[in-house]
Amino acid sequence: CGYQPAHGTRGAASAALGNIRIQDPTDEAAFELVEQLERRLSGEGNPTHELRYTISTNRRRLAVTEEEITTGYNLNGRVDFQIVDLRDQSIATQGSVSNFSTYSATANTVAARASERDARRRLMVMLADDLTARLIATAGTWAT
Amino acid sequence: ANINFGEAAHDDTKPVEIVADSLSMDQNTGSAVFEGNVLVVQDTLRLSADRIAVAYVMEDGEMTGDIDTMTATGNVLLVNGEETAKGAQAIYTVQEEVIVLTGDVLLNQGRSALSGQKLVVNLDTGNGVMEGRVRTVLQPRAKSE
Amino acid sequence: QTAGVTMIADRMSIKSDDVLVAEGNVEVFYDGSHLRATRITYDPDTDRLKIEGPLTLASGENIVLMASSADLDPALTSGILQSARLLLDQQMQIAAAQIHRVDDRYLVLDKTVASSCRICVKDEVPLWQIRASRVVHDEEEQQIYFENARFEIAGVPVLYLPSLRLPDPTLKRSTGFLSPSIRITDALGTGIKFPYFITLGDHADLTVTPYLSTGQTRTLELRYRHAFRNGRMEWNGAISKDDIEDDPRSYIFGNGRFELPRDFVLEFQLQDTSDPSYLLDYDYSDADRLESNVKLTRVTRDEIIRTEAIHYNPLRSDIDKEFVPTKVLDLGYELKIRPSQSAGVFGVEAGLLAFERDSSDDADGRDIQRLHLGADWTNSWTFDNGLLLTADARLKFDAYNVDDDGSFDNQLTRLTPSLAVEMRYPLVKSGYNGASYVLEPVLQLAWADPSGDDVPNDDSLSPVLDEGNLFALDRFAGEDVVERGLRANLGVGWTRYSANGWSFGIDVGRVFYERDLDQFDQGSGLDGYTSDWLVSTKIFSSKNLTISNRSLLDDTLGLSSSQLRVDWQQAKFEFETAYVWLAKNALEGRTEDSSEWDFDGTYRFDRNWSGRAEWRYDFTQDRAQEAGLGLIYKNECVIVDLSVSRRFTSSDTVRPTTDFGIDVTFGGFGNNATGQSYRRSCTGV
Repeated sequence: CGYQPAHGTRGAASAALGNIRIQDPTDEAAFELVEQLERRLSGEGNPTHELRYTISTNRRRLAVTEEEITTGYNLNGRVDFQIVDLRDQSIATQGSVSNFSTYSATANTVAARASERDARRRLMVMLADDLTARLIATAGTWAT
Repeated sequence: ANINFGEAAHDDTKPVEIVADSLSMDQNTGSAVFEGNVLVVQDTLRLSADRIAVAYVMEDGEMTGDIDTMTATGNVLLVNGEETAKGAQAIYTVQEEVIVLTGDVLLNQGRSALSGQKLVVNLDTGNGVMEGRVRTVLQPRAKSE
Repeated sequence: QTAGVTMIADRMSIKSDDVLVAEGNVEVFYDGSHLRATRITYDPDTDRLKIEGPLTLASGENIVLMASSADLDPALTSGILQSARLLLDQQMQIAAAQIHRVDDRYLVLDKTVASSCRICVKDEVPLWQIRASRVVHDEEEQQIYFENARFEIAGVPVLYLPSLRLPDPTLKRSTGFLSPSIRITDALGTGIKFPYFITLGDHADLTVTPYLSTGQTRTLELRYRHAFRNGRMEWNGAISKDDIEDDPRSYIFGNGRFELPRDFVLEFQLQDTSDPSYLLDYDYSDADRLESNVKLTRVTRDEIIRTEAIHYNPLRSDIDKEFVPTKVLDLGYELKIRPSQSAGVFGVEAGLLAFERDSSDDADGRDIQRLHLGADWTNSWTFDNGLLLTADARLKFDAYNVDDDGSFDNQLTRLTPSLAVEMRYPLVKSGYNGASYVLEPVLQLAWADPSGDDVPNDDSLSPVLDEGNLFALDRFAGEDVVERGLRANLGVGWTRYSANGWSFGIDVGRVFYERDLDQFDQGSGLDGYTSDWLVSTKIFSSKNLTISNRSLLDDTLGLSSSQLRVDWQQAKFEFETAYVWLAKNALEGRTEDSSEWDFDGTYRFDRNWSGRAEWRYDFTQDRAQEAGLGLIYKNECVIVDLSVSRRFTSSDTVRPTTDFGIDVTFGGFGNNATGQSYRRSCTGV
């Protein structure tokens, strides 16, 4: 039905996705994004492209009860990215991906804190996966 | 609006004296061409140029002694008392006593310097008008003078 | 002194007494000033320019003078202009019978009318204007001083001030009053706020805002900001005496962030309030838990150092402060080691968490100190046929010191090995019109088997299932509980990317447990032998439209939770809306299912009018939880912001409040020019 493997010797994407250097993280969210991107874009070659990104997140209240108690939050995230061709610093492709993760605001402060950090980790995994899928799909156009 | 060109009004009745390296006359067209360091002097007026073509007044085909127009070309310099004006070309219509200087004209008068494309001087009234995006740098008269 | 004043004109002539006359498109240039007029005469003796208009004198691009005639010195620095108009930064226009220009710095205008509103037809009455007997504009200080100022709105005198100082449009920062705003709430009556901004040097400022309302409250709001070379900090606070509470009420919120050497970042936050409902009554914050903390962190490519000390102050009415951890210390270290490309990535981590509850009742007042050590390894291989294999191994050791809880020994330890193998097989297909498809089946086998003591659980109360942890080694949020047993995580993602930037994607996933270890509570979607179906769809368009849904469906395709989000940004409008359905979950304070729709959007009707609406509707209670409407009129000289919002809360500590706000800002003073697109143009276009 026309599908062929994205990676492997005949893979359309593997040539490009194998050697992308990812911009260093400077905060915990970026650390988690890069960690997941490295799992999905692991490559051996010396880098020909660099992935540059900016992460923006905002939090919105959810499921607020009659007594004005917030029982949940949505963490919305967006990553604006650029793939830069290191040979001539030109932008090979760019775009943005967005997603959200939901977490509960329990009364227990330690639990609420852990679920907030976990929501951020999950959101970064989702954004990294969306970004990887986008790069695999469009590899044919920019990965010359 | 006019330029007072020269302290006293210019007297056009005075004789016109022309000196040049060479002269060629053409009786039937009534024209004479002076070439090479040509200098025209009339009363307080001095006009010098590389080449001046003089056209005399023609009466029924005969050349009279009166000058109709002088056309000076090349390094034209017009001097009248302290005022000097330089340009590429000048046309002096003697009867109307008007000199029209054109081509990157530079007029120095007192301490003012005007640069423009065209200067029209009426020798009788002493008025002069510069035209064509004229530029000048203002110089206040020094208080001590 | 006027050497270098250049004049250009179509015609120039010099009169007998050396007076120079220039006519036709006359221009004078000197040191940044540029004068244009129809006729200028210059007398070298008096060294004055007599100028016949209409003339324009621009000094820099922010100050433009227009007049019918003028008498100036050649350097254009001083002199008189007749029936003149001063235009500041293309916004503020001051018409005057006469303008004196003094020492290249001051403009003294007599019998003036000032306004930044558009005046097209002669003698048209602008929306607002200030008439004054005299106005002095100080170019250096960028200030405008009015004498006998009469403020008129649509020609009607509204306010008379003997003297008034306002910043000119180019001034970014100066001490002075900001525009007042009116706030009407049913709790505090009709009140008005007068913010006064004080600059403290170049790097700090203080805003003092008295807020007085019809006998209901006397409040002083304060905001202090300070920028440092390597960071900044901001403090907000208020003190109130009102009729809602007997003794004075106050709050203080402070935060700061500083970049230290060697990439360390120091952050702090302080939040305190005198009584819980103060923040809601005055709409200072809707937080239901205050957090004060100090954090020192450093994040580099392969290492995280994190040290946090936190103090909580829960405001929620359903919480007994005594039984909730209020003092928390959290230290964390994580290091990645990459011996070589093919050997994968080794990681070590260590964490110390200590927290205390004020109460020392048994179990309810439990205090914990917890040491957590971990070592992990991951590697992935790409096979020729395109299969991606990823292996993970982790060993986690936790040691607890438990106080105030008889059901646990004081010291507890636990060791948890876990393994996972993940197989991904991403497939790509390119369609006929430039579309491309990605199909990616994923299977992960994961196993973990903790051994040692049972430990108390404080930080892993409500696990959630989504694409972010479908293939995680441990779906519990914290460290106290570990996901045990053998399970298979199965998922498939399919996304279509079209050439014009649209993409449509769907992810489906499910977890299959070897044995039901009853480790998940009922509402989480993860309980039982198999988890609920995770179905997540997303539409993403290049025109900034995102529609996404994530649902958990049980075997009968009944919904256990679902969320639909739509975000759309366009030139004329933008909105964000979400419908959320969550099953009841006592732990999260939800005693019944929650079905809620919230909306937040703005719409620009035309050049000057725009509207704003936001609401949160609770379908289970069948009532609105909060709603707000806003109407904004904005043009080149005024911004009027009308807003009404109501919070329908009803509980003993929190009162329902309705809040009206009227905010009027006059353009043309200080650097708050409204955008170009809001300016009305005379051609009515």
